[in-house]
Amino acid sequence: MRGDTGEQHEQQALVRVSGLGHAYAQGGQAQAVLRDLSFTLRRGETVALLGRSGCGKTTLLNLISGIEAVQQGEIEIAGIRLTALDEEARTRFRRQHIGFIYQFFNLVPSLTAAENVALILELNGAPLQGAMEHARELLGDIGLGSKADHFAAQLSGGEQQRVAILRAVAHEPALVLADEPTGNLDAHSGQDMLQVLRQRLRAHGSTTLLVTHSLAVAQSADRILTLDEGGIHEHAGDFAW
Amino acid sequence: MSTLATLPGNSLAKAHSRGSARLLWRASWRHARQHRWQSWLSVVGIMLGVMMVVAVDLANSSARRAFDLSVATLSGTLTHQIVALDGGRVDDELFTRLRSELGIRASAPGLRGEVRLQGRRFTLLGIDPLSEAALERRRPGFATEAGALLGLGLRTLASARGVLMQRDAAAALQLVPGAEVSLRSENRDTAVVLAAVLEGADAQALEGVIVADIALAQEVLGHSGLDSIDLRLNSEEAERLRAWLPPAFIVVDAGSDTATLQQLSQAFQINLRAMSLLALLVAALLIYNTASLSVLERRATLGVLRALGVARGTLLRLVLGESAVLGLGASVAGAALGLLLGQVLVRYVTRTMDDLYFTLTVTRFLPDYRVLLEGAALGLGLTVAAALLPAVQAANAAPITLQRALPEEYAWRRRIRFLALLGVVLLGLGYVLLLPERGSLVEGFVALNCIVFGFCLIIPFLLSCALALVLALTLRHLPQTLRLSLRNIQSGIGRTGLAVAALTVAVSVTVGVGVMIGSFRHTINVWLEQTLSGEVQLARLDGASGIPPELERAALALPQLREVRRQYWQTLHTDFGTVRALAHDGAAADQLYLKQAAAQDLAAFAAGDVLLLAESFAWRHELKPGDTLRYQTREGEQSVRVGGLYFDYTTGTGALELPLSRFRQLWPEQGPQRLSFTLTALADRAATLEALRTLTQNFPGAYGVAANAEIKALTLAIFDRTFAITDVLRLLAILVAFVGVLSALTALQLQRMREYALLRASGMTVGETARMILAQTVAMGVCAGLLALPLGLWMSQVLIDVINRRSFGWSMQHLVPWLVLGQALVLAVIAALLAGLYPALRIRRLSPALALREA
Amino acid sequence: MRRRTCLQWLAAPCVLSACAKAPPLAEPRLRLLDVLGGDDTAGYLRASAPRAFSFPADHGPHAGFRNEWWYFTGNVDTAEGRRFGYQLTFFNSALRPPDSPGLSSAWDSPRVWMAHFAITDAQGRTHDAVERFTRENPGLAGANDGRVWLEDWELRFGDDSRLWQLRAFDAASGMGIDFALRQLKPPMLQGRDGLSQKNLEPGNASYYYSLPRLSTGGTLRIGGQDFNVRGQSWLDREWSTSALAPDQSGWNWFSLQFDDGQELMYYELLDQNGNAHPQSAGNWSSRDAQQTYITPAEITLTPLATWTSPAGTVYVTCWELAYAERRWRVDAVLQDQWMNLSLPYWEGAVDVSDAETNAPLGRGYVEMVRV
Repeated sequence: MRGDTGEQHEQQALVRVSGLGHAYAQGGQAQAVLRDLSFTLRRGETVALLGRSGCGKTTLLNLISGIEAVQQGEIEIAGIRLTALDEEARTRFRRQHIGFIYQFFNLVPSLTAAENVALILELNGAPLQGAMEHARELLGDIGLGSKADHFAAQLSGGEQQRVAILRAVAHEPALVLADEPTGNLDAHSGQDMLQVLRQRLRAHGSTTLLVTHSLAVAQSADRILTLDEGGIHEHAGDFAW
Repeated sequence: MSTLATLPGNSLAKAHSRGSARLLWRASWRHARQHRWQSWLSVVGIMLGVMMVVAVDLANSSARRAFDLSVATLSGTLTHQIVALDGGRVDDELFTRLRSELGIRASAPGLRGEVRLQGRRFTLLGIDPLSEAALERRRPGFATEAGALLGLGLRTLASARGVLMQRDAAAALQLVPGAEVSLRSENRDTAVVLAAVLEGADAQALEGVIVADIALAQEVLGHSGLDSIDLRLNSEEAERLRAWLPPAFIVVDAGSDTATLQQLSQAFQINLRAMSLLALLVAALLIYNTASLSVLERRATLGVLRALGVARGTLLRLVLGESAVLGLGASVAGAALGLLLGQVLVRYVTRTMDDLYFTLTVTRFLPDYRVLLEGAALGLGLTVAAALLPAVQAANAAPITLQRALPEEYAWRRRIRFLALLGVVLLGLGYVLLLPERGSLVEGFVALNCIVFGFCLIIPFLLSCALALVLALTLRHLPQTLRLSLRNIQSGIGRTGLAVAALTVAVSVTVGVGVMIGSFRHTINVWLEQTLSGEVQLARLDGASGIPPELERAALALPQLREVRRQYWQTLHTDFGTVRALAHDGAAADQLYLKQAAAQDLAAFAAGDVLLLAESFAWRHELKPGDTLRYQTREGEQSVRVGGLYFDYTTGTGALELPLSRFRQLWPEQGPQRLSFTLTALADRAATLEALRTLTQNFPGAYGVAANAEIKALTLAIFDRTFAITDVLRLLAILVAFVGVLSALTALQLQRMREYALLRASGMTVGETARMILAQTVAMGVCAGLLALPLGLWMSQVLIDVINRRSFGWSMQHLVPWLVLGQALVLAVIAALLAGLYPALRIRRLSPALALREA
Repeated sequence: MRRRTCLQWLAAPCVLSACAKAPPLAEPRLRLLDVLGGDDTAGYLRASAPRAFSFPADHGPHAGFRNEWWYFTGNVDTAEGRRFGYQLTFFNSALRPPDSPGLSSAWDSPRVWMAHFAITDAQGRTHDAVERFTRENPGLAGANDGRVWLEDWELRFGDDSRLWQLRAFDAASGMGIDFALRQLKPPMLQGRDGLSQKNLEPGNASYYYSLPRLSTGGTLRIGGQDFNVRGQSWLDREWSTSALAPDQSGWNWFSLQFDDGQELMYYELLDQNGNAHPQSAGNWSSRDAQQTYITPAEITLTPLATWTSPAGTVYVTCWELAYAERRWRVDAVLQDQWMNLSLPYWEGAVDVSDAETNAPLGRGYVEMVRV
């Protein structure tokens, strides 16, 4: 947190979800995944989202990141209504303001670690050389400087996920979405990874929505939301990290 | 601090990045390098396709320019010509009378003939330099430095024995001005002097020409008279000339004959071009395959990029760009190779034109470099077009969080039904286009392409149905591994169907063209059998008044010769242009290969009331039995009814058969040009030929003596030479298809490597796995081979009944050479087998564990 | 003498581009002299000594010499007084010596022919000129004891050598003549007894005579329209083998027919500086055909007016001519009587008048060649 006005920002809502509903067509019938969902994420906070498989967590992330179009209800991020944007605009929005961390890392296999991180910077208009330098710097910060020129296949799972985190936050997005980031890692690597994530988030003051199965992971968040049967519930924010 | 907080609210609308990143290109490049074999196969495929198109186009354009140059050099700019009505020579003094009685000064004598200089063939062109000036004739090679040429002309005139040659042609024979050489024409040698060499921009047009003063030309060729008097007249002058001209001569429009020849040779070239385009079509299938495979392989990566916020347009451009880079490199290389191949092909093309249509005086390679650009652009354009669908697929790749297990295979199931429907529509369109009896050649080729492409689209569906049927029927009879092979083909129908279609097209081209050529050759053979009567032929070669009766009597006096039949011909000027009028003694049915003639028409022909038309001539001018043909005679115009049609495969401007009585009436002094003798039972053929040859030496004129067998062999040799180029092209088309099949099958197999590794892991031996892979590709090869047969036969039918007919007006008998069909099947299987070899070998090196981990 | 240019004309470049309509204005690129191998006179007869002329035989061709020509010029009028000038010339030149081996072909032509034809219309103020070239055989052009022809242009002379016939029609330009001519005075032997010496070297000479006065009558066609005309013509005949003198740059030639029945011929050769060459010469023929040889020292030519051709060559169109204490003015009937042919020159009808009184004294033709 850089700041002087931190407190003020914490009071402000960054993400406002209201009346969100979503259904998939399956065998000619609409299958509702999300029903009338409303909640708010404040600036700078880290919120964990718990829920059983298939309860619609991933769909929620897709909707918030603009990957899928909103069918019903309203998503507003920093005063911008996602529902008012077309696919092209949502894509640009995502590129600039969202960072995404996946369970399966999803690094681009034909790019090196540094290039994977630099890619998001370059996509946002940075010149390639500067982007590469910055990416190396970031990798150095988290102790992966020596692996900067390795391809994904040459890195361990934990290393891949740490690179993926850098890729998600390198362009200092307003909102970081993480979908089971530790789900594919052993306990030790998971801890390492969370460590890095926390560091990076603190550095940038990003708001984070962390989807997880793990209570331990969830407890590290400012708040915990639970998603089930299409509804969302808030736990008391009695866990600090 | 959040970036967003510092951004103005509308910043989203004007995102600051172009959305394309160099890192994306770097990723593409690395991917292509990792799948090098795939990229290389595409490059080779396009390269070969472009090479073929460019080479054929270059050869064609070169041959066409050679043709134009030859025509232009030998005839130049004219409007009219005076020729002898009987096809003989024009008297020298007619020219003098034309100048002094009629005062037509835009006139020049025309004379040319074939001579040999140091064994090489040249066209001897006799000119009168001063008349050329008055005619203002423009012709390539003479155009530049008119004054200099006149000087040279006068010098040849002055020295009486001077000739002119093109500089390179002279240099090739190591001749320098002043050299004394002898020109050979019909066994006579005439000493001449190379007065000077011609050089300059257009001089290459004279490569195969020796220019001599008209007097020397007559001396060398050993006769008086002219081929023609060449004129530049307005219509009023032409009328005045027609009124004045003695009845033995006629004024014809210049260039009408060469226009017909040009049309014929153009048809030949269109045929070649169509073949080269088919090859490029196969190459396009290959590109489509490569691009779609590489998109499929990168599905996950593309999904990540989409999730990261890479716009659809960026991915579209990325995939198109990748193909464009491959296509550009391959097209440029293909164009360069095409330039080389074109120089080889042009020899075939010019030789064919030379054999069939016109004596070319220019044989050198005259490349039209625009063709290179066009070919490269075509290759690049086709590559990008073929990559369009995969590029759209890439752009529509779901962001990674939305991707589920491979939907591709299922999507294809629905897609092949749609494609099959489209295919049926195309087939129907092709069929309808072929329905009218007449129509343009281009329409014919469009129809042919509709059929080939339509069939192609149906193949995956057919293949899928056939496999389903086979699998259902053989539930208990086939070993499980083989059933697995077949099921693999079935489940990967999107890719296997494409591979089989590509192979089918390539093989069907060989079937179609093979059957067409086989049928053609067979027809020519039958035609020769039918029309070459007797066993030994004696022909007058120098075009004079025919074989003297004394020679005929002397020949019949030879003990070996029994019976004689006479053939006559003369040039006839009809209202459809100049044709060769033939006549035979004996019944028409014995001498001609009749196509369409009723009994009463044959009786009318025997009575001298009707004439018969060569089929190709009738086709070209839309004449049919019952129509009337008008022609010029010394007594004025006559018109005769067409009684029937006969097959004729001689090229040229046209032919017809007159009843002998009518022929005699028209040309009472004309003797037979050819005598066909029957041998007595015990006669030795070689000795008889020799005796005949000896006999002819006692008579004036030039004669040829040959056995029917020799003539037939020679004709077929020319035929085979003509189609040698098609063989080359067929081979290349197969090569392109092979590369395509190799690529498709290899890709398919490599895609399944994980599956194979699983099988290996669950206990299948290397040998079993390899056999399964090979079984699969062979099954595909067999399918392609079998599918290629009906398509090929259909194609041959279109080629024979539509394309050839529209090109040349020839009809042929259909002959199905089983050998060609068998070869096609073998070819398909071998191609498939070879394509399966690489994955089969690779499975050997594949550790099951490794394969599983790679996933 | 003057007609030696025929060698160059034959060789002019636009022969091939058939320039009857639009001849080039440029310098000729080719000379027949080069084509024929320069001054190779071997195998030809030479004009090396005076000869006895015999008519009508000498009106016909002289085989064995390289060059020969028949050159008609004349002034004629219609009954209504419409005045025309005409020129019709037949040239021929051998391509190889007469006894060199030929070919059996009917087209074998040891000689080539050229003809020039021009008409000046004084009233219409037009001057048209055309040319023709052809090889000799088969019968396209030639000369015999009674006829000289190039295709359908011809000159006939009968056993009575005093009667001539001249016929030439050109369809393209719509002009033509069909004249009967009658010889009024005996042949005028030029040079010394008909041997016109070119320079000091023996054999470099021609045989040269003129028929200085031929009464002329017949049809003249111009612009497709026929006129009945009468008047006077002049015939120049010359045959030779030897080549041009290298130090010549052109010449002026005069043939003047005085109304009192006398004639004057004079050619002034020009050296490289445009000055009169000592080989210049002429002849005066009195009413009774007495001839007087004229040397350059005896005659004075003074240019009074000039005309510049489209090619930029300057020609004199008005002269003062002084000879034997008489002074005449020679005026071109038309300024532009430029022969716009393969090798351009000026040749046209002139009037002769007394230089002091301006009284008309006669008519004639003048030729100016600038090489």
